[in-house]
Amino acid sequence: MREAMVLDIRNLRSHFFTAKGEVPAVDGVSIQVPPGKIVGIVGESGCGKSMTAMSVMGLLRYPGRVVGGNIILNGRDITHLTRKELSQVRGNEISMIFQEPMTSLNPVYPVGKQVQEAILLHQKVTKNEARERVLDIFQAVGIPEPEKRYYSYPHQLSGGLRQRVMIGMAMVCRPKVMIADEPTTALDVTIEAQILRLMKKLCEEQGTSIILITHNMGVVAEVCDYVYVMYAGKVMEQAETFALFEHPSHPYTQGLLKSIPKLDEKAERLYTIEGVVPNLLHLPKGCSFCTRCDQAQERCFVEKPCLYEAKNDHETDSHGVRCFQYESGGQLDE
Amino acid sequence: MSSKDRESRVLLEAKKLVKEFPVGGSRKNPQVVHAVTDVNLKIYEGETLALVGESGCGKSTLGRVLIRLLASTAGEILYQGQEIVGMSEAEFSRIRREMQIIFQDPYASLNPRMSVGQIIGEPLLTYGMRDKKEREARVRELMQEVGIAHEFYNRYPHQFSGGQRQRIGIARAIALNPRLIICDEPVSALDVSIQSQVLNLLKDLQARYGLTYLFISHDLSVVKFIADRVCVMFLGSICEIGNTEELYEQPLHPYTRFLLNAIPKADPRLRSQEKELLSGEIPSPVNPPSGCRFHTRCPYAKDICRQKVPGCREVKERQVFCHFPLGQGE
Repeated sequence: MREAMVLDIRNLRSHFFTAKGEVPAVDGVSIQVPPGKIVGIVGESGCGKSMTAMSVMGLLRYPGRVVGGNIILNGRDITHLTRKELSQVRGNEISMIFQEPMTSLNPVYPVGKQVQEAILLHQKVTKNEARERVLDIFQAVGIPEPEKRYYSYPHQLSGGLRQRVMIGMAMVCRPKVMIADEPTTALDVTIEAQILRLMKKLCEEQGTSIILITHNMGVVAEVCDYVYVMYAGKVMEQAETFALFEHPSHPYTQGLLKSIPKLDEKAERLYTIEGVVPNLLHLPKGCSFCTRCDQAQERCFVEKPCLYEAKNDHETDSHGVRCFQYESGGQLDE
Repeated sequence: MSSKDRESRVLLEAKKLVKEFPVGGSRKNPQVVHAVTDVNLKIYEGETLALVGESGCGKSTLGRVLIRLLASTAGEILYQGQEIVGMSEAEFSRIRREMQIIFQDPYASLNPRMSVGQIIGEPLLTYGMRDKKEREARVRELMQEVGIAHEFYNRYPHQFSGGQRQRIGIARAIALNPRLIICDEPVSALDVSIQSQVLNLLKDLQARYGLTYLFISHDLSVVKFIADRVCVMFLGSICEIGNTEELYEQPLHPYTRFLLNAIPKADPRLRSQEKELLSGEIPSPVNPPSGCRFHTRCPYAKDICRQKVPGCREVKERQVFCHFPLGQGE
């Protein structure tokens, strides 16, 4: 099973060495990405979802550093590659798109040139061939009049078009994995729906796997095949999407789902998770969610739970939950 | 409630309100952004009216023009039947204290050099509460009210989380016992678990003080929770106004329906239904399309939509600005 994964993140730990102490931003995260699937990482700000992605891409900057674990892309460990080796992997086998398409495009070059650069860096083709490929990918991501848009500067494009350019740039070398960090958060709902549909289509056509990082449960439900729910640097629950929404098992996941206003019901009050996300410098001794959990037992405050199997009878895939309530299901291998 | 009762409870009314921003061009041919065009709107006492629409549709501008934070280009604004557009500042200050605003970004809307006590106390000072002790007592009371421990009186904004800052903004807004509060995307910058806390707080305060909210948001699920009536805007003009339940149940304007369709629902079982998506992007507000402003994106557009601006059609208690409202024959 494990060998078949395109990307296998094993027990990844990334810490930030700040003046106030060591911050465990990513604290033992294991994520498996099967080929051609969309894997969602969902969580609130500061839960470590973006840092996980940055670690995988080798983009962590000082004072952050990967301190443990392995990142295996296509059977090859890329955790300790040199910068030079890494730059051959990045943009070629694995690529990333960011939340704010304006700040991730260079304002002084036409967008076509920027996408072309990605091809010229990684593949032995002439400039003209590269240009043709750019026009093809622009067509594929639904940019109208690709010939004209090739010479447009980022500021001349709308947010939705810029994000399409970014997706085009990320997909042009046909990577095995694309990491999308909140790709639709800055966009309007009607544009968001277009972009999500586009990503899903490309993923199916080209067999690219996508890691979709988001805080929006709706987006997860819409496109993801598997979901990892993160909280304070740890994966709290992982399951196949349908299973997660049907049987949310961790108290945190349950709380998150309950606190979203629903379109099809009129509630008088919303469910709230009391308190705030804990400071990563002063995490509780036991489970990191214990201070906000309404089902917490004495034990939760002193012992750290592992990931336990919480599979229901009709679920085919494993359903991991980091909560003592599911201890009887047996520990999952991390 | 009979319609007559309702009319007597209009708190704020806009008539043919227009707001344009100059954006250059030449003197002979000045260019303007048509941010708000011919908006007629009534806000009733004690209700929550939501303004929804995509970015750039003019919802925030409309909110600000309504309480005179921005000067309107043309049209009337009536507060309890009294025209406020032409009022002098001195005259208006009496009314201004009854209208407050909560901003979207809790990081940008609090002065980092002022302590929480000063921030919440500032409107009190402006409106004549000179006595320091009295003011401090009131501020501490307000802090309790919004769920911030009053021991934090002397702390500064950077010592609080986003959710707590938004609570401070809310405390500042209710300090003068206003009647109308413009909530400009108050929860968009917050995480889901914090968002629900703030929404509940807004609802509680409304019940306690009989507040009227104009709730500006792009998030239709939040609006569903908080609003009594919804006004959908597209490119500076209103598409549809109606009671929340009915509008969500049966949208009359095509744009409303596409907007509702496009929201990602937190239920994977709903995704298999192949939904219709809106193609294209929002046209430029400098050169808005002729006729119905939505016609370039509307799949049902006919010739008349390109030529004539649709008038207001009343369907029961709802208003819709469309030549061919959905489900109305034709």
